[in-house]
Amino acid sequence: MNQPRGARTIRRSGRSRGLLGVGLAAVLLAAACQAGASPSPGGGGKPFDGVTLNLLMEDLTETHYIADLLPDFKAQTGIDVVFEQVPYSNMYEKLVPQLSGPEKSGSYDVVAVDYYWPGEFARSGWMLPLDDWIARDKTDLSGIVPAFFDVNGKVDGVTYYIPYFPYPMGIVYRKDLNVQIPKTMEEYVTYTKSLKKGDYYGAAMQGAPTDPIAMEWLNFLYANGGDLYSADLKTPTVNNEIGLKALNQYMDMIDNAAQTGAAGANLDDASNMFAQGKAATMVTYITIFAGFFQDPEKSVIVDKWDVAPMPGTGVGNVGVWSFGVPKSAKNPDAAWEFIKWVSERGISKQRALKGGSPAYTDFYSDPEILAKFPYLTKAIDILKAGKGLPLITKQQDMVATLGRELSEAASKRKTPQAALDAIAAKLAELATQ
Amino acid sequence: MRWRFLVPLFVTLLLVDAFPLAYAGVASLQRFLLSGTDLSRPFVGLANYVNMASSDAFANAVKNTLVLSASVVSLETIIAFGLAVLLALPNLRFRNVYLLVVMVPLMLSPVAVGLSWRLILHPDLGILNWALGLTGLPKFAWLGDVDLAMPTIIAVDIWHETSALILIFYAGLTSLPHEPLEAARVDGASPWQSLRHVTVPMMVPIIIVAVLIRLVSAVKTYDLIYILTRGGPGTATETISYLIWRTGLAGPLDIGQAAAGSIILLLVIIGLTYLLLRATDRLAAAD
Repeated sequence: MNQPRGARTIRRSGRSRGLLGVGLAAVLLAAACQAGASPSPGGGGKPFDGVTLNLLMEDLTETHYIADLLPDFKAQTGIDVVFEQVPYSNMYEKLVPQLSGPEKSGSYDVVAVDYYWPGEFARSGWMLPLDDWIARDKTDLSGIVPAFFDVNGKVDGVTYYIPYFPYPMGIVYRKDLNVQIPKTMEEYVTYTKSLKKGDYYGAAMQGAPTDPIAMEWLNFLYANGGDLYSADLKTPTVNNEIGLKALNQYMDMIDNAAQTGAAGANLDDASNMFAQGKAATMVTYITIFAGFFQDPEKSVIVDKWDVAPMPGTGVGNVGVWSFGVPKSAKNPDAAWEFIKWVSERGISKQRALKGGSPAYTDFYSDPEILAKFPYLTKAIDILKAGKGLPLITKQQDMVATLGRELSEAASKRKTPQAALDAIAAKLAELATQ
Repeated sequence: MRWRFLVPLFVTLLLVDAFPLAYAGVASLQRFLLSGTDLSRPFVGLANYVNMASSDAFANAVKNTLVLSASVVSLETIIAFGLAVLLALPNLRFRNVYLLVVMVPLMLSPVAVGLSWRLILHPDLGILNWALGLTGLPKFAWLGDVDLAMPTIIAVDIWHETSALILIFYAGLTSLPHEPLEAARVDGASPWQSLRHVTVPMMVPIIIVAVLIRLVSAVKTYDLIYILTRGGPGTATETISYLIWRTGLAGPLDIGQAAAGSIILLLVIIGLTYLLLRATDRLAAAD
């Protein structure tokens, strides 16, 4: 993410949050009953022999790549790592009750944090700052794309998370069918509509509430030069003429270019449509789905697709997954050891060679990695051009509102302007929280 | 001193029912945000109730919940009673096979049912549209069309939940006394007349209890909505339970308002239960 182009200045107010005082009694009771092993550093010649770390992870390819490398971590540190892998939609609701508990009461020692939770988690006092550990161990993070820390690393000037997995959004398209991505959004909409013929669609789209439609539409907004807020994150701009234009384009494509039922389709539905060769293009997470589209058991388009940035401004939505240590972690020191290990250059390169999405800048020009995944040469440009979400505190609420209201418009239950006005009203409220 | 045997029961009830209920009651009177820059919890009186009950989202959820509950309870009761009568026919061959088949949906969790149906209903890759396509029908966006989404959820719910009612009605029918039916037959009543004037009146208490159980469960419907539509398209299938969930755990993390919604839902369920129990008492008195 190129900060000057992104034109976003994240405000660091230095606000600190206390722990949630009187918590949910049921959660506390459950947490108190958790059978977690206490750290026993020093035993057996390895610093953390006997320690077990519990992690909540989304069930996706990057997680599997890390899981494959865990024996290396165990050999180095003696730490056993248990991954609880769940679908993305379940992560937030599983994390919140755990994170809002008191110190050392939670089930998870390390949490994977998506790019619309960092502000909320840190400012609610749920996460441990990592700066002291970084300084103590002289951890070299200089190779990681600096802008990732702005999206999902630092909050109010303090490092709470280490980015490990960026996932830029752009367009995947069928190069074998000579599909060409036009220069402007208007042309893209017209082009995809013209490609729709019978069971073959111009675009596989994901219009279901709440996360799918919100993430997909943000690309339309950014590609038209729009944004959710003004640069100071105080005034919503989502309902201006650019926002309205972006939503009208999106609805036009849902109605006239996309597959039947696109307004109720989620990411899996749309991805399967593209993988089964039924769509010419798709706005998606290009690095996450590279492995899926290249898997001959799941895809009929192996080697038949390529990636492109969004038309128009070329700015797409860029997400970043990061690791952090919650205050409720039972083994925070061992948790930091894991984050240090998984983030360091050697392990990161091994993940990249398996098909992972690298956080290190120079991996995108590494001949060894590019020999296996040549599309990464385009991915770095998409990454640099893209932007993340505004770092307000209640980002999850912002995304939920976006998804719900956009879906109201896409399903014709509200006019586009009414939906955008409702989003703007909520964003104004959230800007003060 | 026999009451001492009841102590474990009351202690358990206190822990699992009374305490959470009281906690939710207190939370519903507080500004209680789980996350954010101000985590203080001042008492705000009935503000959460007023905000929840006066919101457009709540009105929409109430409407959806009423449509869903009324549809599934009435349709499932009619279908279940009809199938139970057929299953209870004397000399029915393969009765146990039919009962086994009927019980299959009952044994599946709502999440498994939702995920399976989501695949079946996929507009382009699902088997249902494929089968309909063989007859020349167009593709339907079962879950993506604002007019079809709720009827589709109702149909899936009927597929899943009718089994329980069938079993209740079947058990009731097979335990009815034979004498009144025999007397009706001797008096020359047709099978339809026997069903209408003898069997149904005797089954009314069982039907009321079954409807009550099903209604309370239908009003709380959450899992199918979560898996199939996430309340969409837009908020076209958002029920009260789903609204409470997303208010408390999926966006604002507003536990106070979610608790207020839960208390309102609880009062509605208590009211429904009271009405149905009174109806049962009246019938018993009439007998």
